Amino acid sequence: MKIEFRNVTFYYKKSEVVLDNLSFTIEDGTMTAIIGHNGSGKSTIAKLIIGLLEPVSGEIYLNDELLTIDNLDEMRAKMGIIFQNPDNQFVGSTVKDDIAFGLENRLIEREEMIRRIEKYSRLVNMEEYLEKNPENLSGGQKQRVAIAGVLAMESDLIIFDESTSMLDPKGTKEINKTIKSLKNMNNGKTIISITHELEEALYADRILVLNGGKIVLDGSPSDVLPKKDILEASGLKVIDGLSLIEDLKKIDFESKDVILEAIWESIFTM
Amino acid sequence: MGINFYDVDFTYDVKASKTLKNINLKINKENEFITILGHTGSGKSTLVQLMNALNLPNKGVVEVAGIKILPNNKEMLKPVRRHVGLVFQFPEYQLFEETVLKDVMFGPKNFDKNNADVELSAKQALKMVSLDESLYERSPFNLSGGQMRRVAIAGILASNPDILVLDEPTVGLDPKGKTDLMEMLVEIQKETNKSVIIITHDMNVVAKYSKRCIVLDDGKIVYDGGKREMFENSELLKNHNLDLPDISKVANSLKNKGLITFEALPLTKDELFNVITRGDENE
Repeated sequence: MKIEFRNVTFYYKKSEVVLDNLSFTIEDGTMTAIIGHNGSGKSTIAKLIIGLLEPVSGEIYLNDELLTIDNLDEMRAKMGIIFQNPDNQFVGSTVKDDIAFGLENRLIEREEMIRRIEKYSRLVNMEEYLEKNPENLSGGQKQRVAIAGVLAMESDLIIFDESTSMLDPKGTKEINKTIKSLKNMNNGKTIISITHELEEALYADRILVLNGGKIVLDGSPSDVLPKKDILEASGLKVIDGLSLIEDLKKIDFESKDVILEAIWESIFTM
Repeated sequence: MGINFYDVDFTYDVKASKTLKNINLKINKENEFITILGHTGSGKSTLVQLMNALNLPNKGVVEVAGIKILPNNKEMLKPVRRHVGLVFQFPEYQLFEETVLKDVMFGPKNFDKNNADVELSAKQALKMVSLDESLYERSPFNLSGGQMRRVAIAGILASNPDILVLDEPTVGLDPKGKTDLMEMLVEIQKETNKSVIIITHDMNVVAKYSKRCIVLDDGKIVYDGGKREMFENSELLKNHNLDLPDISKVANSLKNKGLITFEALPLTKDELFNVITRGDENE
């Protein structure tokens, strides 16, 4: 799904502007990470796309069509979102029921429903848990069920809204692995990952850095992530390894280029 | 003094298996900076809740500031909780008062009846967490997440505990908020000599700040010692599902490619920087 923001401004109170005349385009089938400190407005972007909020001024175009109250339902059918807290998004008493919930709402045929539940629970490695109660799962497993639920709707756009920030490192790894494999499947889905963990932005096609309601950096991970001054001014931090590269660039030492290259590589394969 | 555990067992449900098994632990009142590690469900939160009598041992003895924690002895609760201040996970959810100052004053009121004294300790605590005076009369609910967390920590500091225990204090904060909070805790530790105990999953935090690591697995203490020995013990890390700091991973990958050599595993950026540049001087 192609997403276009044209001069979008949003605020709750006029004196505290959340998004300030924001314009950007996300191309269909790409993965974009939107990063920024807490309160930078990054989650507001997700809420605007799914129509939970309306711009104060400006327009949002989805697949070149202006998002309005009239086509909101039709647009929403093409997107899915995974939220921060895995405990707040469960409705079913088994994993299977939970994945089925959205499908039932859309009156999907029973056989098709079963096919999708099997397919997508396998994709997130949760096929063995279909009969289990979601309450007894770990945080990472819960989020994977939530992802399967969204995938089962076969949406064009999947938004991860800080979906790892309440998980332990094991859960975070599981979710990152799932997002990464979704991206690598190249199935034409558009993925937006909203996060403040720079490590999670490493494998995106493109990173938008938000500060004070404006985009302050826009580019590939290798362009954006070493920009220490702007990242720090935006309440973010340079990944230790990249910061090391910046320090080493300033001095001379044996096999400098090879070592810098190797550090770079190790960061992106971590 | 400090906190001592002698052969402590604990279970939430006598019919179920034990949550903590045979815990022996000695924590000094002063100058500790301990990180408690272990995967989710290993017993970390349960352990720290025994330190201030929120949980009572089923077997063995927990001794805090020389006081033995015994079931059915409510007399000992106040001095124990005065000695050990516990900050829960997401403590900002527990703010409730009309103003920041009132919220921070709530804790010490339980220990001290004099309102002027209480206000003074609350203000000192707010200063320690670097919260600007202009916010004291604001509603705590109009603050940012990082500020709310500071208010909640000040609420515990205001009772002036000797030992400060925090259950995952940096979870959910953005990278700058994380660093600021950790630097603040280091500062408080240095200035007051209070021992600080932190539950964390973040190995970069451990590498940078921890003086002593306690690793729990399945309710047992499987390691209690320095971070360097821990991170260099690959067997231990593997057996208990512990990760390396990011920089150490980079260091290992450079070593495996034959680009650098080292005896002591670099844990921080500066350490790896030194290894890479010193290697050059030797040649």
